[in-house]
Amino acid sequence: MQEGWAVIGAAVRGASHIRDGKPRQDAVGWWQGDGLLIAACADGAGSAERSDEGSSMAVEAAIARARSVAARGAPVAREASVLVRQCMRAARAGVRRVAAEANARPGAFATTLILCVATDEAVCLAQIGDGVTCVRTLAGMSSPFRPQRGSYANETTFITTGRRLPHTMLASYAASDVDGFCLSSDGLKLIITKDARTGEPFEPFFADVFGFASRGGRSEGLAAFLEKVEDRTDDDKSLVVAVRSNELSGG
Amino acid sequence: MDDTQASEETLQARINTDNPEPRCACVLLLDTSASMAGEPIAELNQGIKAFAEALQDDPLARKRTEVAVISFGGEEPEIQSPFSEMGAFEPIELHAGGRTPMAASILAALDQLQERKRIYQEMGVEFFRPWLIVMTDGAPTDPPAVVDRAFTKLRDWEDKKHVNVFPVGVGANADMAFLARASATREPLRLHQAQLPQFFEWASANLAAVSSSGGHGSSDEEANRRVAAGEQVALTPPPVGWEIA
Repeated sequence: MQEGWAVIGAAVRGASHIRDGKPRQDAVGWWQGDGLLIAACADGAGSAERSDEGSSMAVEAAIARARSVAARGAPVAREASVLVRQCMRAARAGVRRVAAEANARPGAFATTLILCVATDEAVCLAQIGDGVTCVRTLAGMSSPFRPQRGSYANETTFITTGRRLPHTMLASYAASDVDGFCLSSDGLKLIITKDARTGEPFEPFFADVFGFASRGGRSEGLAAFLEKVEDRTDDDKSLVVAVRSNELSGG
Repeated sequence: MDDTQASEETLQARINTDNPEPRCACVLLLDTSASMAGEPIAELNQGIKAFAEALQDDPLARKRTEVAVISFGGEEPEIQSPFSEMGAFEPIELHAGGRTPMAASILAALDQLQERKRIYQEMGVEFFRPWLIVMTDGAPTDPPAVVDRAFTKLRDWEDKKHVNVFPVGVGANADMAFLARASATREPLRLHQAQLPQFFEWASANLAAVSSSGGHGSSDEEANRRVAAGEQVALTPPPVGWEIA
């Protein structure tokens, strides 16, 4: 039986959104219980009118699905690799339902989504669209995914796109190999990747972030960092950090 | 450190300051033929200056937009300003005279864009879809074969989403039918000379918006529509009163 996780996270409004009076379009969330952890990070499209609602709904719907599966205790559904895909589909369905209820195009709610589901057996990540992930294993830090982009710097894929769920990048690890992971939206990409094109993590940043979470650092402290960091983009910034809670100093 | 201290602290984290800014290249392809002499060329020079100043005043756009100016007025296209980062861009005073080798200059502009893209790839820089603003008050004087080659290549580039094309006709004599061949997705705009400042204001604002969209310009169905229209972010509509041919 693995220990639980210490999870912190925050999403803050970017300088350009503040200037233009736009809402925060990034959203983060997480939940753990019954030996299961789900963490989510979503980035609503800047050009979509209601993407702030889209990203919030995506996070909410993904977490709700994980909670209901945890509550039912269905053994197959609890497999991390199965569950993370179910949560991704639930997020898409949730956002499209909200769009339908509002009599709007799903595109108006367009959002990316990165999920991580951790059970006693496995840690699985899923991603649609861009964003940065970092997984810390015994072998070191790495990102399982390359950012999902078109040829150009501002084109990406959204969970709402198309007639069925777009291609989802998936990565799976044995739970015993992973002692920390981080999910982040695109806004921090230039300063937290070693190479923005590949998404390879800039290790000093993640070492500091994991260290902060392990020492019992709180979401408020993370948010304060996000508020003041020189991000070079003006975009919303968000981060979810999870470390094994048996690493908590004095814990 | 004990937990009490840690729980109150603000995260201090080392960040990478070495990743290059993504770039948005823009070619201004401008008619400087004899018919532009007088007020039109003065307005054009003024417009470019305002365009450059607006982009230079925007802290992100000045680092991310790269502008080249190519003129056609005479026998050959002339590269007035090769690509440079906006922060280092200095407009050159344009003078009017000669014929209108618009087609040859389109080919020259595409060569410049190709080369710029190669440099971006070599340097590992991400980039946005480049812009090509082509502005004329007349019709090309190139041989028909060159005209065909230029417009075919331009449309091919546009089809492949290699470039966003913005065709603009200035004044009553601009050959809008020719300009219409420049883009399948964007109808040419006809401007009066007096509307040039407005146009450059629109162009700088929208180029700045594109270049700062670190996140996502596009969104699903809307994206499909915009991709069809060659746009990645919602461009502010051009000022009202513009006659669209």
